[in-house]
Amino acid sequence: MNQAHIRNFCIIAHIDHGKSTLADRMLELTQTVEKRDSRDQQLDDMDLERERGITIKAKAASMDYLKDGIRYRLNLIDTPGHVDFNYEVERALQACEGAVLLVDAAQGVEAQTVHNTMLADQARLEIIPVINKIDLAAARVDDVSEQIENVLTIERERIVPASAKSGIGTKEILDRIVDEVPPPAGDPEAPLRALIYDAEFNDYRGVVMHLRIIDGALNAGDRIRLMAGDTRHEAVEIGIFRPGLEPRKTLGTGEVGYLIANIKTLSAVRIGDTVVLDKDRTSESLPGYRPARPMVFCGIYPVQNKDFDTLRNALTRLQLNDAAFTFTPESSEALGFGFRCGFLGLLHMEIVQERLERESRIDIVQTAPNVTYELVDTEGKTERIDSPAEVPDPTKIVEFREPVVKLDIVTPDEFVGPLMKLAIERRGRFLKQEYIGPGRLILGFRIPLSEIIFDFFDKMKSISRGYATMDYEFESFIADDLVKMRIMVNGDEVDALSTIAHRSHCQSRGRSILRVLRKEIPRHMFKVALQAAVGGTIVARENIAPVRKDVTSKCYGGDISRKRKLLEKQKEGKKRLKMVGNVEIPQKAFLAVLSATDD
Amino acid sequence: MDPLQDNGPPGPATSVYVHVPFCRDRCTYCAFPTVADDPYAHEPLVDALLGEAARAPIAAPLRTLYLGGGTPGLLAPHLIERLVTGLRAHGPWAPEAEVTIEVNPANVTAETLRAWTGCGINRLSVGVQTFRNDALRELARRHDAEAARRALSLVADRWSGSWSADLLIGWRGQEVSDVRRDVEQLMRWEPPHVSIYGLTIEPRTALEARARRGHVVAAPESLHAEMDDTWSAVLHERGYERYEVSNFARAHHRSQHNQAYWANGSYLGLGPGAAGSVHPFRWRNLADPTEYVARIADGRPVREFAERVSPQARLLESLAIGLRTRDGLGTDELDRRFSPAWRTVVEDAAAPLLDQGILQLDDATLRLPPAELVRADRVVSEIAMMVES
Repeated sequence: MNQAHIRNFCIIAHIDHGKSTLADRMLELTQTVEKRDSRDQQLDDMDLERERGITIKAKAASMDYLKDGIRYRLNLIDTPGHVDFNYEVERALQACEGAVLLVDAAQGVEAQTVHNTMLADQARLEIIPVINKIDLAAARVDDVSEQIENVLTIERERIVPASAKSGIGTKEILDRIVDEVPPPAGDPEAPLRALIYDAEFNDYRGVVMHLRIIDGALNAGDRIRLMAGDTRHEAVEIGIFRPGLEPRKTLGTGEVGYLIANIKTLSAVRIGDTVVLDKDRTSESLPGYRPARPMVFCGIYPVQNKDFDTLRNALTRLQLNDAAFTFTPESSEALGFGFRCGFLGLLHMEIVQERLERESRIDIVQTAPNVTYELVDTEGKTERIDSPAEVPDPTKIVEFREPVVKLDIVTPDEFVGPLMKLAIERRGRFLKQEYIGPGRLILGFRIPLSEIIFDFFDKMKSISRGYATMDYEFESFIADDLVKMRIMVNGDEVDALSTIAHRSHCQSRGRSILRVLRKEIPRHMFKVALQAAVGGTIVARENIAPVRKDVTSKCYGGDISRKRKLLEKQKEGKKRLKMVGNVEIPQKAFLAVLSATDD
Repeated sequence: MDPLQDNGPPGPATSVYVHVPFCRDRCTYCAFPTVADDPYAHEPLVDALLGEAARAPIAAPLRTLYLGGGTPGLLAPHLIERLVTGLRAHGPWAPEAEVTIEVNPANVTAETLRAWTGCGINRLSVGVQTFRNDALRELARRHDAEAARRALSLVADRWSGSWSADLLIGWRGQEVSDVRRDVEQLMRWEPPHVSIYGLTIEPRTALEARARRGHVVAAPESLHAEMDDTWSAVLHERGYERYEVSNFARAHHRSQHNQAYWANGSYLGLGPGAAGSVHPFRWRNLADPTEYVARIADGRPVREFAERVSPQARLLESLAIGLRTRDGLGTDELDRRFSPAWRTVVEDAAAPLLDQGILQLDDATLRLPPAELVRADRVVSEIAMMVES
């Protein structure tokens, strides 16, 4: 492939702004897929993504496009559409020279748009601005053009008006890609260096790596080395995405394609790693690689202890497809044996849980999520902890640090007051407020990650009637007055309900957790006392009144075995509840911390 | 410690339950084995019932006979007479045997009362349920409130034996004030015995189907405690003893037949769907009356289910039914039947309940204090949770 005729680009857009639809139109126009074969949204192949209308995993497609008598190879590199996958987005951008920036004509510029455009700028991509859905009745092309000009500092004359749904503008976008996006640089004579910008697991082929050849060339059958992992493999098959796998003998400089190397687990491949030929001992790795690091954790337990191994197998299977997901065995007095699972962020956690439910038939209890913390002990040692259970005695802690993020909220200006209040209640520090167009502005905060992983997103959406959008980026670990709050049920500590909170929030959070528990825990024969404690101090309490009476049913004609069977059935049902002391706690109660909202 | 045993009840079966499955209408809450009435099937059924009785003759003098259903009152008096007389011929009867028939108020007339007395029946159980017509209609009861009042007046004036009235609590729309009105109205006829059962939504009933479609079919459970307070206060005032959580009796009018069940003794069940128990077995007959009649005629077995009850399961049963009674369970009898090992089982399974005084164990009895009787089913399910059965 002639390097000068290659164009590598991605589409950056907020969720629902039409990225997948535009990609589908491009595939059709370039006849990469026949229109009649095309399911809507070719590029999202996970059900979950389809249901949620978002893209999680990056996918790619190589298209051939004829312009002015020259056949160009346009490589579309699809990027994940969510903040949790920031690192993957960055790596995907590194594989491109251009980006189509897609903005919804009715919705306008959103927090994610700003964020991703910034990333694209940092990666020095040529940006082709597009306003999509111009044929919507609610389209506000002028306003949105102004937003793009003001916030993203892109001249409005450059904007392509389009409607991916009806195909308006698709050809112009492709032409602009050819004309404006520079061909890949890279030295074809240099030793091979290829960027792994994504990887997926295929049941039959093992790991399929997505590559961008930066320098040199890769041939089928080459002995290769993954630099960060320092592992050696054979390039069993290489090829390009059409969007299915199409084998090739060679991938040259600037090309985008796939590599299959008999690798059986996804965790053996690291996104951002560099592929070189095994014989080249002096190659330098490409910049930007860092191991994925989970920031949000929760416990996942089987309801029945006998399902522990089944759960382990299910989690192992999930990890095959998702290297960013981690799990390690842990045990809880209340819940028995289970796993502490790590996720990139809250959406990532949701995705993994949904897949777990869908793909395995185990009843699970999931504890409320927490972020990862850093502790400095009296000997000056810094340690990471992923669970409230790991918090040592307070006298041994010199500093208790939590992850803090930079949060951007884009909103119509009428909601600024309540959104500001929400962020500040959650210990947010106000950084900036900027108008990005008529009646629309961006709010910046520095806020602890722990404060936005529970219900912040839902609150923000409800306050702004769905209009506000947010994005965040990890900044650093910062020390604060953090404590572990324990929850007791009839005097027994329920370790799975412990949380880490800011001291000033313990009382109100404790109260709301207990209120939820009171609703979720059924009445017992006896009074059930609920308490929240920090150290030796009780900060909140609630009681559950005992059952007063049962419906006394008739014993059917002396059919006592029927009554016994009923008791046995009840017993089976109750076995599925967790017992703490004498108190039965339903699974939902373990999420009390999640659904509890501060006063 | 010796393992738990089951030495069986103190004596042989002296109670017989006879199931007459016919009903004119099926009540929406009913989960008994019943079929639509077919008068042509009455006589073959009676013959079959006697045929089944002949297969298992009663050795000891019979103390209680209970004709339940279904609607046994649908049987013509001469068939009832043939049934009772026929059963008498199969074995000795105790001189003061209790013979009960369940009747719908619609079947009570001066003639039927006379006929029932004539065949040796000495106790009636009248299914009143409520005096509110809208509720009776919703529950698809055969009678209306006026019919109930007429039946009760007839029974009160002309019936020389013992009798009981059944009330049903917890139907949709019922208020605590309805409970008071029903119980107080019933008191006009001074029934010697009253049974009050809570409406339960049983599988495969019309009510359950309605509930599954999302309809409200019962009064909220949260009202039950106050309803119970209401009826138990009225009945207590009138001199009734709550000798079982759902049963109230004036002196000498306790149901002997039910007490035989509650002692977890042996009894025979005759008829389609009837259940029986003779140490160490329990069984239940097939429910289809046509099939039942045919099999009896052909000399084939009619039991569709039989089990040998383990000592653990038998102890759980004894607790499940015995703890609903005011007298509870006698420790001497428990020692004799199950060996003293029962104490370890109960003490292990019910430690928190014993600690909190919800369950009481002294030298003579294991029982719930009177104030806790209303929570008997809950206590039993807590115990059942903890025992192996």
